[in-house]
Amino acid sequence: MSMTLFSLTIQLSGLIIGAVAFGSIALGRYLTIKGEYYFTRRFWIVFLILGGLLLLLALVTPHFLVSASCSILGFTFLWGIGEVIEQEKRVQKGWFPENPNRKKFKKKRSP
Amino acid sequence: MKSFNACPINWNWRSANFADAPGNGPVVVLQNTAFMFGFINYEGFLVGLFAFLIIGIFHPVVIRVEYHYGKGVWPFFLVSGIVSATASLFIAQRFISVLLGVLGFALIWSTLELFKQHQRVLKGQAKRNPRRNYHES
Repeated sequence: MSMTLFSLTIQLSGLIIGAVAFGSIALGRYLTIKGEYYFTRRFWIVFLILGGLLLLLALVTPHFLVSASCSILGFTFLWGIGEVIEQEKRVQKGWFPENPNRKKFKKKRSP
Repeated sequence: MKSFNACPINWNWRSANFADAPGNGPVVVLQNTAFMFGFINYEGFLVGLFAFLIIGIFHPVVIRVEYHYGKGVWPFFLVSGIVSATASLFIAQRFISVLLGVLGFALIWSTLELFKQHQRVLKGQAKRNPRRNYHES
């Protein structure tokens, strides 16, 4: 995607996809924390399915910007698989709040 | 502006596999499916792969830079990020422009991450450099 301003043509693809990458990192971080909090580390399955679907979509979509955005989000979600498992360890170390409604988890920690 | 085609070979499975198939019965479904999946967009996929690698490289870079130089070097990250993102505007090749854009925003994210890493060190969640004074702030 490009834009012409007073006979100067600028390439907007880089800026757009860069912003998408920035947003997807933020989204991945948010989903990791919230996913672990509400759904335990088994949330990695959601990341795997969403990431795989997005990568498939990225390969199939002819539109470049849509495809690139899907690809970046897909890879971010695949990264999130490892991150959500790490997140459980961080919660056990007390770096992040744990869900108080999770009784089994609490029992494991208390002794 | 001339756009740069990073994937000159577009496999078209539809023409390869269904050129002489009659368009009736289940073959129509096959043809439509082949149309949907016939075009493989390698360029978009590769952008994601490269973005993944760039972000993955900056993950340890931030940790090491914080360890050796502290959070004070954040202007280098921010300025190089802004320069990279601005440079992406003036490059005709779409793929290279996108890589520069991703690099720029990754650097800007790293600037924020540098401060968070400093906080993690103060909390004892990350390794503290024994040869450096940390101002508790």
